[in-house]
Amino acid sequence: MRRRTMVAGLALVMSATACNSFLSEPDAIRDPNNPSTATRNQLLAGIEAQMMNQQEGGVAMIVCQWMQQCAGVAGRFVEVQGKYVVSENSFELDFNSIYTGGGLVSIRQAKASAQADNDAVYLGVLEVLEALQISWGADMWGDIPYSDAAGDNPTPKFDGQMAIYDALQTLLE
Amino acid sequence: MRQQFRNIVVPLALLALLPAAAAAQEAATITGRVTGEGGTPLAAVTVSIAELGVGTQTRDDGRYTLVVPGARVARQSVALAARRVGYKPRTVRIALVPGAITQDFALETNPLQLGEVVITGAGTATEVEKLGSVRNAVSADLIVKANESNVVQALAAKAPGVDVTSSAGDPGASSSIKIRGLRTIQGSTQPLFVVDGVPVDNGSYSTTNFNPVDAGGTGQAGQDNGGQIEGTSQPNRMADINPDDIESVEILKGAAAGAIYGARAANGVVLITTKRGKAGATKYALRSSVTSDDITRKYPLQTKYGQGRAGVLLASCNTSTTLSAGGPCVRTWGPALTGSVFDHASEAFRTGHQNDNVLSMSGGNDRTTFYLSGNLNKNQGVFIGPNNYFDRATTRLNATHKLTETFNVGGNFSYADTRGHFTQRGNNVNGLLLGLLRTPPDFNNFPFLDPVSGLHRAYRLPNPDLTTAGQTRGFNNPIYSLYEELNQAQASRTFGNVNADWVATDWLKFNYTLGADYSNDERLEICPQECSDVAAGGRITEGKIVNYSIDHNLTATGRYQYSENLGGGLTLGQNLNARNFRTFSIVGRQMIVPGLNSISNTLARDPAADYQTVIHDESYFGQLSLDLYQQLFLTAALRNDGSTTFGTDNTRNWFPKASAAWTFTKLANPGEYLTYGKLRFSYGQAGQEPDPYLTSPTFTATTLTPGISQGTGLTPIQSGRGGLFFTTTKPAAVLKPERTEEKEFGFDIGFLQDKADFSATFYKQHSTDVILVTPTAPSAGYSSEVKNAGVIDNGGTEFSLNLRPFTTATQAWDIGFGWSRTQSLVVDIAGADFKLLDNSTTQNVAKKGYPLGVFYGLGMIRCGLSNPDELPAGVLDAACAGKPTGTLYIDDGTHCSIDAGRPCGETLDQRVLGDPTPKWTGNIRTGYRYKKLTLSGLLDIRKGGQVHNGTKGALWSYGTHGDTENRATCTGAATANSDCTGNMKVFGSADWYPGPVTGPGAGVAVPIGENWYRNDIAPCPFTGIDEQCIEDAGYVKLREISIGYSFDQSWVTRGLGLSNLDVRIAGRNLKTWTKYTGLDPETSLGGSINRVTGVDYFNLPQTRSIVLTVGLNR
Repeated sequence: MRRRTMVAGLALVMSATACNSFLSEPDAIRDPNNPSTATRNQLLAGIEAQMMNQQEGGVAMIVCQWMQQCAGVAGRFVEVQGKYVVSENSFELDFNSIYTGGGLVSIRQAKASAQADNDAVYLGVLEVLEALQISWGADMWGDIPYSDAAGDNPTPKFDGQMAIYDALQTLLE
Repeated sequence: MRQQFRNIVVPLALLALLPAAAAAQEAATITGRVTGEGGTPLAAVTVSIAELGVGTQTRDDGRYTLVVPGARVARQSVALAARRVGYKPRTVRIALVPGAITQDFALETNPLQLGEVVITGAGTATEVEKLGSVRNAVSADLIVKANESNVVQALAAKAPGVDVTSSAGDPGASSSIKIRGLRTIQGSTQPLFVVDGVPVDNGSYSTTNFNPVDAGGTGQAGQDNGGQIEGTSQPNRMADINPDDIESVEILKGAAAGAIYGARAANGVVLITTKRGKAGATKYALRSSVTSDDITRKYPLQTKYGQGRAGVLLASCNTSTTLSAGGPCVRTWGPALTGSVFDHASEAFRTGHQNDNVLSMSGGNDRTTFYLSGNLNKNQGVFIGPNNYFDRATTRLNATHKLTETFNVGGNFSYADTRGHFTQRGNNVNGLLLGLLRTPPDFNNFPFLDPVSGLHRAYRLPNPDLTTAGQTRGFNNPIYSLYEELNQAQASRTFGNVNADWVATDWLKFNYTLGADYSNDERLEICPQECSDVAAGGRITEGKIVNYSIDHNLTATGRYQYSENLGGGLTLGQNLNARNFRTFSIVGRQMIVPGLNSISNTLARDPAADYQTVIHDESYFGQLSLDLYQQLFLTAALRNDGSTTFGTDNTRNWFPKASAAWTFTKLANPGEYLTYGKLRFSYGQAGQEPDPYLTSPTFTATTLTPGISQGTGLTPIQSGRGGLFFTTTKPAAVLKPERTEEKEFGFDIGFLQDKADFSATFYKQHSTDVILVTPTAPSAGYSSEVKNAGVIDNGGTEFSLNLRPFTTATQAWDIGFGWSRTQSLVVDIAGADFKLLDNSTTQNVAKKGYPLGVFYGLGMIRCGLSNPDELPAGVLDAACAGKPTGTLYIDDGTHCSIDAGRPCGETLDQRVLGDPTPKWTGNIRTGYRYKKLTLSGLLDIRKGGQVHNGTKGALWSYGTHGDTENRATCTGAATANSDCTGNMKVFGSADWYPGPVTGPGAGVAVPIGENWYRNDIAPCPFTGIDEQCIEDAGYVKLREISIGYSFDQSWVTRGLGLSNLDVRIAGRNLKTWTKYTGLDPETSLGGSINRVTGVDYFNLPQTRSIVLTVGLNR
């Protein structure tokens, strides 16, 4: 009897402490510092902001200097401006911004959300932004990944520049 | 919890009462006396009957009384054992009969520590001879003798394979401990610290991380933003434990020993046990020590030449009321000095003082014991001014109580309050040494405030007027850094546990430990209005760090002894561990009023930021042991870990271990020379948890940082709502812990009648699933992803030899040697060639085929090492034909050098330039006792291992380094050989870059002055030709030396009423023998956070100390 009480007591300690929820505590599973979901209107602000930043960003700044329309201040851009030192890293962030962050990956997510709710207004806006984004990329780099990009393929295939313009035209129509 | 506790306590209390009620028989009272060598009485010897679970301890006179309740006395034969640490345990079988029994013991010393209990972690314990892996124990005596207030530093040179590096001599600065090398690229390199069975925090956190904007970090404020290479030193949190409270330290070095801690043990485990009270009269001990500290070495600076360039000092440099933005006033290549010079190598330093007082009381009776201590440590550092100190107050109460004969409860609680003011250092224009060592010898840093304007006066702005208020000085006047900059950290920490032990039956025991660790660390960093950082007008960084964890550990241990030759044990356990880390911070800019250190006193503020992480671990473990014929001891263990850091899909991982220990001297009759021998083999796996949230897909608040500007970003909003976009780092679906598999083999032998023992250990580690952030095709939507992708191997050898030539009651001498070597090899890093380890001023990388952490960068053009394309086709190959690899190419000024006779820097391919990991490390420790007089010493030896001395390279360029005292006189551009005269050197000669040389300019003498040190490839931090900064940093350090005397004459015992009075004089780091040209070869820019070691960039100096200690014991 005594022993049974003890065993029961011990079992209670073990079972009460080994709760199933311990490893699924929300703050431990999901990053509490950043949201894990986003609505399409929040994404839209991010997409538009990134696009603005891209249009005003590295490509614009450097081309402006090469055209001798502007110059760096406080010692910035000395290498690029004076010595024309350009490496594959110089435009890496600009290329990345077509797809990552507020690029195509966020556009696709926002579109999926709009499609799910039959929100034609958002869908239309997002398709226009997608066309703008990708055509900017095709303008700059020529052949770039598009049809296969920001999906499951870790190394998306490149589409021809003209094929991309055709696809974007279809998207806009 | 309370309900459960009642459920367990009530039945237990009943259990205890029942036999008492039934007692009708007379109790057995065993008394006796225990003596040691020479018949001296031994106190604190545990006398117990294991099978009945009863025991007691001897008093100061060596006598004990053990009462066995009558109900359990059945004239049976029981084993009465007497054991004390340091003595061979003795067991006598007695017949337990009612009434008085007398049993005396005479114990022999036990240099091989056989039979002593060793804790092996997570509630398991074994005995020394049963241990299947190498044991590394550090006793309380050795910890105290180290005279270090930080327990991690006290472990330096105590165990082979345990590499301790102090980051600086700044009071409170962290010490890093690395066990058996490095095995991670993203994770921590520090072992898990466990105090009294509870894992505790040993983190170190840079205040600069709160300010990613100025630190140039990419994380959120509160995350690691690489702040450790600038800002101030910070303590590692084990500095919160009073070393005097420590009873013993066991270091589980590898995966094989640490597997019982599963996913947290890949870097080893340090198990700390704090002191307990012992039954008997209450003991009091008061230990006071005063320490006098000074820097180990003065920086070699030149004092012959003054400020200027090309031998000329412009008059405007001395009269300037605005900042000299570069150009002729910044460096020290001016005219030879005839006037007064100022001693910058010592003007900022003083003799520091440390005052350490510990009062402890301990005692108790058969049922209750306690240990109570208080410690006040005041440490005034070696830098002048009010802002260089670290004070610590701690208190601890450890208590145990025997509720019934079979049920014990206990608690260990510690509170620590630390307050410190630290000093800016490193790659930092506010830093003490950066400003100090760059100051020309003809500039007086005093007064640091201009007598007219009252503003910050530095050599680049010697006469500031009010128009320069709130502006940078280029580099701080170092004295201004010391007096005006406030870098404050105030932490309060509580950690401890409550525990219960229940001996359910003779063979079954339960243990429960519930531990907690809570700390709150408040930081305030003031960069005043005229400080030289990017913060024009002053900056205030304020942050709070809250760290708390709760640990629950429940074990059941069964022991079974079938016969003398067959026994075993089984431990089953469960562990839950929850850790929270939170920061809250704000950065204010442009102070309104000087000296008011409040965020409210700023005009602009960066957005306030919070950051937190939560980690939950749930683990089950079991350990099975089998003892055969008292000579073969087999152990197997298995741990299953679940952690929220593994992701939601695959949250459990297994960590097995197995070991065998065979006392082969039991088999054959040991000879006269070989008294003991054990072979051991162990295998185990342990892991390192991923950082939290790498599996969590998140959206990021959009922050636009336009162009490359260094400033606060903008967050776009739409109708008052913020914008988001998807993370650019692809979250891993499943992340496994980094896994280290280890095989360890070794033997321990005792010979010459226990006068000597030798231990050898060989290990191989194979670490897989090393976590890497790898770049991905951005068109897939992410720029990087987190993967288990790296493979790193480690291997090493460890030896220790201890000799005890004589041990008698009057005198004893022992000497010990330790030696170890560890080498890592990067096998694979996701197919990449190399990967940068950390944000640092150097490139320390994981490079495939090389040891982890090697220096990687550009060197001088050398045969066989450099890409032949560095020079026009065929030139290098022709010069190098028949020359040994590494021959220095000397150009004639046509291909790559400025002028004939000089070497050239590489531009094309980076290569491995050095390795900060030492070739081997060793230590020699000795102790001698003659009656009450003790002498001891400890030498720490480090062979090889390089340091990137960026300080030297920078000071070459600035012309203040001692090497530049011998200089050619240069004029004009001070670039070509023809610009300079004098100090002619030939590259490759015995006194100038000795070694083989080749090439068209070989043998041509070159004037060496500003043309080389400033305008050629010499100054590595500025030219990127790192080779010249990499220096051998091997050393031999006299870590400890001491002489002590313990007075117990009648003037002490009768006159003062004490049992003894100890006086000890010790030296710490008194002498370092090294070829390293910087301040100290033991240095670390990143402290205990960084994976990178061996980086010296205006690091703060180390200190050496004389310590006088007086101990009063009663």
